[in-house]
Amino acid sequence: MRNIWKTFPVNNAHALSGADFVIERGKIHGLLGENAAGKSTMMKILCGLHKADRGEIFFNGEPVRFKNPREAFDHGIGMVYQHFRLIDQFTVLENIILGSETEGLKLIRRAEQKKRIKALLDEYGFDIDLDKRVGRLSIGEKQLVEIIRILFRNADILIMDEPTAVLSDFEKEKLFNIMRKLKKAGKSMVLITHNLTETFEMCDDIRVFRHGKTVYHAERGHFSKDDILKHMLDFDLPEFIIEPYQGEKKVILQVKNLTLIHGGRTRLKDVTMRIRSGDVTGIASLAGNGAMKLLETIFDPCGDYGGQILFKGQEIGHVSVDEKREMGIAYVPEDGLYQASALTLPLMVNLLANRFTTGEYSRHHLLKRDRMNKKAKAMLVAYDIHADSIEQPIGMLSGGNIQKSIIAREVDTKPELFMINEPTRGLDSGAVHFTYEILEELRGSGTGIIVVSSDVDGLMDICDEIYVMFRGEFVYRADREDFDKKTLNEYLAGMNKGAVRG
Amino acid sequence: MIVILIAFVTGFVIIFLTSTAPFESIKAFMSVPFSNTYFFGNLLATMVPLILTGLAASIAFKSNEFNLGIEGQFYWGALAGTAILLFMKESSPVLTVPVALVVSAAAGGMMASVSALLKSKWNVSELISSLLIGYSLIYITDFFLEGPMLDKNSGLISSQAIPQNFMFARILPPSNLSAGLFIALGLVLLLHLLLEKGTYGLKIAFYGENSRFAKYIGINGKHVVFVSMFLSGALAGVGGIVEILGTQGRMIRSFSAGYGWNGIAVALIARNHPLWVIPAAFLFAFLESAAFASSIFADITPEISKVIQAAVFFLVTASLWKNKRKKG
Repeated sequence: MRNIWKTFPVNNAHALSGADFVIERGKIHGLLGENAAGKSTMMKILCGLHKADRGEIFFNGEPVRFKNPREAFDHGIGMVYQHFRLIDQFTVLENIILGSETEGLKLIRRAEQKKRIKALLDEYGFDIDLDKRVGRLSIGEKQLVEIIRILFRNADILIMDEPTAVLSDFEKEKLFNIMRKLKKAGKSMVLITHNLTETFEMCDDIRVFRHGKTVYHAERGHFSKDDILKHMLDFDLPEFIIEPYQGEKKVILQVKNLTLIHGGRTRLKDVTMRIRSGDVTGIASLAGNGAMKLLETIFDPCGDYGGQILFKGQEIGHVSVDEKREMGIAYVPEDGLYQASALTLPLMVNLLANRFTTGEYSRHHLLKRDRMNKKAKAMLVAYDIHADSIEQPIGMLSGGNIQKSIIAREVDTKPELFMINEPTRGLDSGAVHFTYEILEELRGSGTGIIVVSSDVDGLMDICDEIYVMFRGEFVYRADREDFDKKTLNEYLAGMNKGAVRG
Repeated sequence: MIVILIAFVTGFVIIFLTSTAPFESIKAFMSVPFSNTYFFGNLLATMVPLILTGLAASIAFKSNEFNLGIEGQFYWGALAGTAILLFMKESSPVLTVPVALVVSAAAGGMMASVSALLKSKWNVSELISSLLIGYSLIYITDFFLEGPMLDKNSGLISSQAIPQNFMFARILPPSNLSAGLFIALGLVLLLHLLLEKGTYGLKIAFYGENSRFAKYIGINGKHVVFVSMFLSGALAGVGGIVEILGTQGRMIRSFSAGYGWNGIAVALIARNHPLWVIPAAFLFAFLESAAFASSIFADITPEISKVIQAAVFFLVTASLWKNKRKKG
């Protein structure tokens, strides 16, 4: 792909302005860049999903131009999207053959196709139940189904758009093994990511995009972390240093023997912890192991639980969300888009949703629009949120800016307890750094912070202590000076067991 | 705007197909309602109940609740208010009329909030429950008009006449337009403050847009649903009694002429915005009176207005649907 240009009519911005990319047989190519650097756009052009305004694409030396994804498919190019395109109600088999139906009797055809897929599975040593409904698969398994679906159509080039963003470390390792097998079989792959460690592990060469241009290219063995970062960012990331809180540490939250049974399953079992002001407490846990449920139960329990949750000594089990927010508890859930924002409503009301009823922004039940506008504008500057105007619906912003707006809303009230779920998932390194800075500032003002994440590296960077939760129980706890990545990961994956008390 | 133009063009095409003198008919259709105070006043008089039912639908829709019982609540409010007016015949209008208005509002509101309670308690769809309760209310109203409240001397299926001194002043004789218009406009203003300028409007908007978000931000969803349904029913009820006090003078069986249903259409055209309810109600009232007028002055039937109304309704909902899909 040579000198590709692309402009989107929506905002008239250049998504791509002269980018290049080369794919070779049997290699894994890394494509790095910040959010909105044009990575996905470039690959969507290759797949025939978008059309380039200018530029050339050569396939085996022949100039080509794909009008639609089917044409790209015919050339053996397929993409695994960030958001899976699977139908939950269908079985794995049905999902794989969907869209590639051929002529003939349905039953005979299906038997034949099943045989072909089985052969494919054997060839690569994939293990998956073809008759299981996709809705019951784990995220990693769903991704595998996507990959098989593309292989089934004889794809030679697989483009993966941030495949690891949704995976746990364990599943990530599995995916990498799959990629290695595919590579051995002579398939080419493009790995779109903003995670450096992954590219070092997997890629044969790396290209970095910035503002729609290819700004860096290096072969394996010749790239270094510093070089890549320098090219990805407009600025140098300062080293992130945490400074212990100097003030008096008071206990803000105590959780005592918390047990939660919901939907007939034990979600939380005998959980005990305490949070002090100025501490950042990490909870390392893979999705479905209960850490998210724990934060939810503290913030807005969905039923009765056993044990106690004390906020500054007071039981808050039956306190309403409204009152909890007034007491100084703030929470950023994982599903920010759908739980923490009203997408079609203006950015301004989203930024102030947690306090428009207070005396500062309303009087006699009427809103003080001027003051709200002023505050919202100030927040855009303070939290570096990029938007055309505060009246723009928040759903029109980019994912990173929505996340920033949500965090801005929750921390701007200077809460005493701040809980955040997967703060860095899907964010580029600039945004991650920004989030860390906000947490650091909060810590400095004496807020007690709980961070839930499956990313052990990230937690080790910012936390004073880390608990590991496995199947609803705390199985390990360590202070900052005792952090050890290997141990933490082992407990995270359930390889070691042993209940701890906080 | 384009939508409304297309709807009118559709109507004209039908006039061309059915009328022997199409240009005369179209001229009558477009001009008669504005030709003298009688027709124009009656146009505005038709607008009054449409504004109130339009507001009723707007507040419910805004919180993403579908109140399909507005027609029933309209009758129910009228019935309760009429009963009060007849019961307190001898008292001063300064006391009786406000009491009747409040009772009508409460009656309509209570019936709508039953649906809200059913929803928060057992998760019964308010769309179904309000529709069914609404229909039953119409039949119960009929029972009262045919039984206990029937005025045998009138020759109609109707209640006794409201004493003349209770009736709203006529402000544009010889038409039916009454001071009820000011009540409607006042309520538009009130709703505008509540929904567009007030904290409560923001709560409704958050809940209507995303109930999970509302819960997370600390808004009591059950409370929002209850209040917005109650207010919706109350506005419908007030609409009923204002129609009695302003135009009808007595409660006649099926006097509503579909005001409740048209209110839903008005709210859709107004995009649930209280101020926009006024022009939207005006449009519907115009279609009503234009059809009535042109059936007198030209050879087209009143049904033509129903066709245009249907076309407007159809096109507006279609464009709303398109916007929704764009967002999603």
